[in-house]
Amino acid sequence: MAADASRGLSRAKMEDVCVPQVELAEVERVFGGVRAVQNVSLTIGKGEFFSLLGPSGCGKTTTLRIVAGFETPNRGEVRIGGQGVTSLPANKRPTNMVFQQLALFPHLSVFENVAFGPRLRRLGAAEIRGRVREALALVNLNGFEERGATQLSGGQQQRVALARALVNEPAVLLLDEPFAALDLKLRMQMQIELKALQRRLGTTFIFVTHDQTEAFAMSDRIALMNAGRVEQVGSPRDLYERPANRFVAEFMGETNLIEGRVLPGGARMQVDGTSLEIDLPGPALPEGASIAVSLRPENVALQEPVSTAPRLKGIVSSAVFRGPLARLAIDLEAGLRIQALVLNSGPVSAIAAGEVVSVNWSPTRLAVLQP
Amino acid sequence: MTWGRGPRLRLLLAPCVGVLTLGFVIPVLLFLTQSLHSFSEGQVSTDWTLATFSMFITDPFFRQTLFNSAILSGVVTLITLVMAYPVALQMLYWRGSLLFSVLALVVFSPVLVSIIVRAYGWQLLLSNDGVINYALTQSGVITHPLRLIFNWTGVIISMVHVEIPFMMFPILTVLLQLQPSLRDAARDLGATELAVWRRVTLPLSLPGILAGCQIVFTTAISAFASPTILGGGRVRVMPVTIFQNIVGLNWPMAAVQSILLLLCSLLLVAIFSKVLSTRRVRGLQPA
Repeated sequence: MAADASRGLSRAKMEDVCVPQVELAEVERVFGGVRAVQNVSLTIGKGEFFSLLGPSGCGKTTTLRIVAGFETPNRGEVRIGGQGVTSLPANKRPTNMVFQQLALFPHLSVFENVAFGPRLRRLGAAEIRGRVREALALVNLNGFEERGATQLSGGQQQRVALARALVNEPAVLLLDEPFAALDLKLRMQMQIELKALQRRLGTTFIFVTHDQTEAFAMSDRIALMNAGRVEQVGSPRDLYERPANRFVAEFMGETNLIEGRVLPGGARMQVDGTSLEIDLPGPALPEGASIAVSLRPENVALQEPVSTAPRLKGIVSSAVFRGPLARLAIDLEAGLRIQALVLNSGPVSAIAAGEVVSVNWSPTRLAVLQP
Repeated sequence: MTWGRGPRLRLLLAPCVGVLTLGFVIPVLLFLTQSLHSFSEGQVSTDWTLATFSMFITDPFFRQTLFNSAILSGVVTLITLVMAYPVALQMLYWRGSLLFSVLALVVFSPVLVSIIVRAYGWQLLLSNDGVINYALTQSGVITHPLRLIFNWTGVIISMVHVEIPFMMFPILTVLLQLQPSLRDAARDLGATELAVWRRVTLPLSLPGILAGCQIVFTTAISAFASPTILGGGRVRVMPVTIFQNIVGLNWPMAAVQSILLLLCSLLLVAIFSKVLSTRRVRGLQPA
């Protein structure tokens, strides 16, 4: 779909991992006439930390459950480690999952929760004991073996869920918004730990989240989904700096969407409803084409010009203090309102509403969006 | 503010407590003091004695009655559990569908009909010239009618029918509270459907099973209508003989039997409560 059409294609190729671990080919899943997942094709490399990102109801969890074997696709194919697993039930797949509700067994101790998988594989008592200890050490939970699994704190339960999945040494670990219930501080700590764990183990992780900062913090690559489709696949930077379309641009963070028409020569655009003409990045575009570009607010430079592009005068219509940053809305003389983020510690600070400023930006910071 | 506080609310308990004390607790206590008298030649003695207790304990006839009651209740409880549990599981899988509602109505229908009506209904079905025997003899499966009534078989059939909703309800309540993701988690860790049931669903439904058994056993051991109507005098259990003793004015023996029956129920409730309160099972209570 839209995925490969992004301008970040070359970089995405470089990061492509040589050995595919999970492959989805034109996968589709229909629930009561609604196509929850439509024509999703993804290749996830061995050892990759891959995130499925998107708003609720975009099909990311369904996609994960298709990989896990809880949902059978109506169309398409799933391969894990080169083996077709499309019709293989969950208990026979080399995947393990950490559930959003954690789903720890409330009648079992921490030890027995983690030992659940090894026991089903009928390993010897000594080996089970060793593996469980190892898995609990991995998540820093030694000494909690005999506690009831659901008597622990939220963060500790999280670790039990992780250990319970990892003890089986899955080829792919699936994580369905596992940190959703944790408070921000704990969540950020768990993100760092999870990423470190993934690096250490070299296991392929597929992580579902609706939070783009969470996906940024951990992912090698992200697939952004919307309404059952994959909008774009790429590194966090790709998606943020070179969004393929309007949805990606807006979902990945605050942005200025500037609409207009391509001027003769294909390298400049006339902004709709204004007298403003701005330079475009990249290859020439067809003259007269109606396009939209995305400009991140932090790329709008005040006072100190960042390029040779002409500086535009404007009046600050609102200034919101955000701790390290200030968010400004600026009405440009040319008739365009843009948002800017400035560091409060930078050379420009304490700008108040009503002040006259001049701004510019580097054209290379603009991302041309697909219609 | 918390609920249940405030002296005015407590005042509202007075009518209920008063009626129960005057109309139930005091008469029962008075009746139970009868157990400390003896009975001979149609007369209740006025002296205090443990003679009736020792008579019950030493007489094999009375002991057999208590034993019959315990066995009958145990058997009914077991059959009810075996029949109700799979239905509850099936209802869990049908949760939210029309089938769930239909099945619920069918299972709980016995409650809607008077116990006497149900017992006579079973008589129509089970008697020698009843519907079942008629169908079986006419179709040639058997030549002589099966004896399904005025014996233990008839009583057990009728009582299982009575008790099934009381077993179903607590089990279903517990099952419906289980997180569906627990099943997914067990599957994900490699469990077959059978292993999911054995290692997750069954242990997690234990509180419901224990509660159901407790209710069924205690109501079955004091059941009167089914053993009377379908037992035809051949099924000698405690409630029936208590009734006979009361009619025969042998109040001391009726009181002794009542006390022993009560102790039997309390003992079972105590055992089950003990099991329920152990850490392993308590951990199962839905959070």
